[in-house]
Amino acid sequence: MKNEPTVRVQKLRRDTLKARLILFSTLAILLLLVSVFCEQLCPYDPYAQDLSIAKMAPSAEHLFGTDRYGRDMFSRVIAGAKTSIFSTLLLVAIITVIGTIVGVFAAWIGGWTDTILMRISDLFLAFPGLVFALAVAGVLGGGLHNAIIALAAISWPKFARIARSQTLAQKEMPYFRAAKLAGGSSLKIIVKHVLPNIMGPILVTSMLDIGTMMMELAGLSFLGLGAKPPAAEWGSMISDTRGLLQTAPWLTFAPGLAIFVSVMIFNLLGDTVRDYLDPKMRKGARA
Amino acid sequence: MAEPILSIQNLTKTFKLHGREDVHAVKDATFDLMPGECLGVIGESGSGKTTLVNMITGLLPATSGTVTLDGIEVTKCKGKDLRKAWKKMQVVFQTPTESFDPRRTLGDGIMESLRNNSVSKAEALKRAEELLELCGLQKEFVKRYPHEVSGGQCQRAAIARALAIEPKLLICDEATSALDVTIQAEIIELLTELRRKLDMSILFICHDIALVQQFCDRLVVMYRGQIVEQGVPSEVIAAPKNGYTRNLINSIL
Ligand SMILES: Nc1ncnc2c1ncn2[C@@H]1O[C@H](COP(=O)(O)OP(=O)(O)O)[C@@H](O)[C@H]1O
Ligand SMILES: [Mg+2]
Repeated sequence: MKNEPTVRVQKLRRDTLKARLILFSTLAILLLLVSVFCEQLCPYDPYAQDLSIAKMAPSAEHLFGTDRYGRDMFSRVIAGAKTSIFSTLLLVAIITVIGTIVGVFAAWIGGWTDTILMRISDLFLAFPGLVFALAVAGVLGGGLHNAIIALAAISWPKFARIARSQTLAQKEMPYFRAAKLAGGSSLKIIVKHVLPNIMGPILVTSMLDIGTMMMELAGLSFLGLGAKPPAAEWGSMISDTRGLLQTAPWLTFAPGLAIFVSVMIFNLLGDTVRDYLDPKMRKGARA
Repeated sequence: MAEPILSIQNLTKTFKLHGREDVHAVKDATFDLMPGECLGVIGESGSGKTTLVNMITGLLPATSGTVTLDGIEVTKCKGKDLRKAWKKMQVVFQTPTESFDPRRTLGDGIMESLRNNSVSKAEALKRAEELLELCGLQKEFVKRYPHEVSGGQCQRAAIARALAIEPKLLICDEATSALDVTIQAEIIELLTELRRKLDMSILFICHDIALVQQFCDRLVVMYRGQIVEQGVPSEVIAAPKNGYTRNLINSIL
């Protein structure tokens, strides 16, 4: 009875947490749906030029106005969702998988293998991202693919470190020794015990990374190292239209807003998932 | 004279730490465990008991010395041979809840060794239920998660798991230390009963000399990694030869 107020506070926090989780996952799913069905959702062809209606201000027909080639900005922003969101998700998936494999492997083998792998990951971590991307673009050429490769190359070590430390922690647990004594192979123990137990923190990190990676990809495109015009991609759209910031600010504003909203949604979702998986909150949920 | 089931010769473990002094966790330990015998190992926290267990199971390589279990030289084993040795020995750990994977049911844990030794799923499940009942739990506990049961219940399930592949040697590493005194007594009772029913040797590691006296046939006293005394519990307690043992006994009697 004495701790009733704290129980009530916990319950309230839990309820708002659940509401937040539902809200942000719905918004994220909505974003994904937009990018999947962008062709159906675009009111106009995002690539069709019509110089007679160039640089029109936002109106009922053209919600975000038109750019200097007369392309409908609203359609281009929606089409850009596909490029920006899918390439970001692909990038995050790549670095999550590679980082996890490297981290678990290093922690599992230990010794020199571990030391060498972690030094390599330090090396990549120490590289300034943009410089590395410039180097990759210089070697492989620009383009969205190479921007993804460049960002993946410098971003996996974070996941490797998390996976490694989590795996090492699992190896110290008595249940791990029990699993070994049960006679399972290494692969079996990793798949059945280690991965399920380390997935939580790794997935939360990937969720939180979606926003960051989206910004970085857009940033590289803005610099001309990612998606290239005329491809509809938010970063390159901002870069493309920034010269017109004085005369037609909506052209820069529309893709900027799209990036801002998407990054916000994914970051808030990541935060909420982290809170939701927090054992302290879960304990409250069971009480 | 029968062959010992477990024979430990000059077993030593030195942890080399970067920039700090070496830790001699276990130093030159030598003792035998006869079939059907229950040998107690006592020693305060940090005296090297868990390190000793880890070397016996082969999970931790020994610095020097040998462990021989029922004809298998564990200290030389790797991979497949070690797995063979694990069919003959199992461990019950100190912290029952942490000794089960938090994401898997108690039943999964109990069935794991059976499944790894190609017992069918249905057969393994049946065995798990029988084992739980043998250890004083209802068979419904196969579906429970470790956080859903009490420490004592979890330890019973851990004992059931250890018994699943019918090991010849059961190692209890402070299996009762994390439990309340009443639960402790229940677990000891269960182990006594299991010993009577199953033909099994027990290495009973503990820091409570009273428990060891009650439960074990013979006793080994460890102090700072070394074995300082061996003998029958009543004799050791009546006439301790070693100064440390004397202090240990005086502190509780
Ligand atoms: N992996 C390790 N690295 C370094 N020192 C260790 C390690 N494991 C145990 N030790 C040290 O070895 C000694 C014995 O530890 P342990 O076997 O756990 O004792 P007990 O189980 O009797 O409490 C302690 O001093 C401990 O700090
Ligand atoms: Mg210990």
